[in-house]
Amino acid sequence: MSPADINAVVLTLQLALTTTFVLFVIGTPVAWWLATTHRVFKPAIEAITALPLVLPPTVLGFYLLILLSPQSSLGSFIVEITGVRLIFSFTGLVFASVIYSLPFMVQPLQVAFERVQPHSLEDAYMLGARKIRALLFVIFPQCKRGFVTAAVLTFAHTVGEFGVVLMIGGNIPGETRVISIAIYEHVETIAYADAHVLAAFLLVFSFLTLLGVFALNRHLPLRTH
Amino acid sequence: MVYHAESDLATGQTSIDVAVATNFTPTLKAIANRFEAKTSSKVRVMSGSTGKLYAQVSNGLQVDVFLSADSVRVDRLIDADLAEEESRITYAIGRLVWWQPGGQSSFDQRGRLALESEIGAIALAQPKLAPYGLAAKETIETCTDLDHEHTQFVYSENIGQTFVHVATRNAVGGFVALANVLQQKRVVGNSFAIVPSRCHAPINQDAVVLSSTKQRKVAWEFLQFLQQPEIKLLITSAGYETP
Repeated sequence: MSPADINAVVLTLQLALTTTFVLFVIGTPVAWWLATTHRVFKPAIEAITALPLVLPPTVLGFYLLILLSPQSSLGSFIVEITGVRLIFSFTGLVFASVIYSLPFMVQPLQVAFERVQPHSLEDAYMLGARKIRALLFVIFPQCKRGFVTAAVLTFAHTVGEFGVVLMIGGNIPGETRVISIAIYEHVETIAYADAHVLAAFLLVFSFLTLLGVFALNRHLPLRTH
Repeated sequence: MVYHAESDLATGQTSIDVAVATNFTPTLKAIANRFEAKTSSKVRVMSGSTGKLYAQVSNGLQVDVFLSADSVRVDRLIDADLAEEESRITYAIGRLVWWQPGGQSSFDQRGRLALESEIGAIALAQPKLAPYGLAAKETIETCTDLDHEHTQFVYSENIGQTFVHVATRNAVGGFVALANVLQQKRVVGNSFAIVPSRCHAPINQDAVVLSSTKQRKVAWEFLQFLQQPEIKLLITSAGYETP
């Protein structure tokens, strides 16, 4: 593997890890809310969080190009506040990946939370636990499987991202040139040997990741009582 | 999608499939209409980036004619015996344009583009993938003072995407195709300058008949049609030069 390609591998892992962490923080409360709420607009929120599953990445890429442009009010606002330009930057890729992989975090978590008996929480309250402690020490431990699945799916989906990055990345080495882009470039320039190395790496890596999850999940009970 | 161009038994009409580089697609569609009107043969247009089409054709995609955005891919197809060498023509020569909305848009008398060094993101097509990207890279090296230390270059897989990066102002300026600029005159206005031809090697766009064609006669006719004076005029007005 050439240094440039190793760079792409490292960058991809960084992107996937960062995205998974950010989505873990954002997705958990969203999933909890969806699992417990009975409000009328719940289906609307569910639909919105599932949108990235349905829409092609080109739609997201196109909207982000327009929304985050320095010419747009949102884009100029972000640059003014944070000094960070989102298009053509690593931060921008994280931003896009968080949106793009949102359902992969929220849906497994929501399912896991819904499986937890509502009375678990009530029991915990009765024992005098505060809500946050009840969540952390009573509910979440029962959802280990959901957390593992959500994290791995989010991670893997981000590793496999292509269309959005192609549109808003700008193919900058060390910043936005991720594995999928590097493979695409190799194929297009007829450097099939380089493409093979990266593609095989990605294939084996993805298989091992998924294998790890399924093996681990066998040992994690669906729900502990 | 693999489709064999064959005579339609019901109508006796022949049809050919033409794979064409994205930048030339709108122009080719106009040409195809004229060809259909004149010959009663049908033309199906498949558009994609030159690199992708090349990979597909060399892996068995059945098309009759290939209009590349460069000459290298055509060389390779001929070397691999996948295309008929005698059919080869240069159907258009691409022109590169510097486009900086609301900014510097002219080359000085010495043919140089003087830009401030901390200009911001400059968009160009990936030189390895796109002929226009290569020409842009050569132009940056020979006719500007921009360097990698002070300027951020952002790359896209094709010249159309480069246009989008500038049009949405995500890049301050960029090197785009004259053909795109003429198509989008309303968006670009007058804030562009044609890059002098001495700044880069000519962007020869070559076309060839593929060896696997089952419509050899019509395919050759089509390439000859591309060289008719009236069609050359159409190609020139779309933002290309012709040999």
